[in-house]
Amino acid sequence: MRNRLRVLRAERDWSQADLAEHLGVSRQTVNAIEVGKYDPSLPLAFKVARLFGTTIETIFFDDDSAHQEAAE
Amino acid sequence: MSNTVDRPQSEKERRKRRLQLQYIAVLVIGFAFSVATGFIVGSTDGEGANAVPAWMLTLREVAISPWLWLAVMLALMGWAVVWTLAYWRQLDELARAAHERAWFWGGSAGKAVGLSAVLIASATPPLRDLTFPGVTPMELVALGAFGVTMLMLIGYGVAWAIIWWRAR
Repeated sequence: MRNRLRVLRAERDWSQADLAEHLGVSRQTVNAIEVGKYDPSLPLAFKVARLFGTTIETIFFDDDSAHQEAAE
Repeated sequence: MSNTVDRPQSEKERRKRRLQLQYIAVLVIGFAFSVATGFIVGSTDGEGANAVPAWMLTLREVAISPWLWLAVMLALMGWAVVWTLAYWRQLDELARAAHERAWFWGGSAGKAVGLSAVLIASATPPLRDLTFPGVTPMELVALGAFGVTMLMLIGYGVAWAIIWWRAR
């Protein structure tokens, strides 16, 4: 699964540690999610979405949805 | 202007630090206890019994008592359960997933190696025909169980280190 976490974080000038603090997880977790090595649980995905004031699907997306959007 | 979070040490971090210190303290105390027991038993063994004060002999009786070791093991297991629960509660989901995956893959691999070794050894001469004078069958069973458990723990440790290194 891919995501826009790094972009959203950069817009706020947050480090990974800052975002981790906001989410109540470790910096390693934020890094693993950003680089796509770990897919967050639904509760954490909701937490991320709420923090950035948006929906889960605008932050997290799979290759299928990316291709679908490109086709549209 | 930077929105960087001002990050004093949180309660979560303090709790984690306390748990780490507690773990190290129990390891150190356990090691010291084992060394002290070994010293007492070793220095009072055989002819050594004539060269030590009477209180050392009394300590020896306590140190070789199976009831003492049963009590120590029960206390350690009780502490380990409480400590593990507290440790688990303060982990975030990536750390929990790393432990779960490490236990499944590393622990299973360690168990496979250990059980294969036991099965091969028990079916293949000359290992099959080895005898250990002075060692009871129950002691051999305990040794085998201990060996397999150690291999599982080693597999778990290696798998956890790889998973954690890759997720850094």
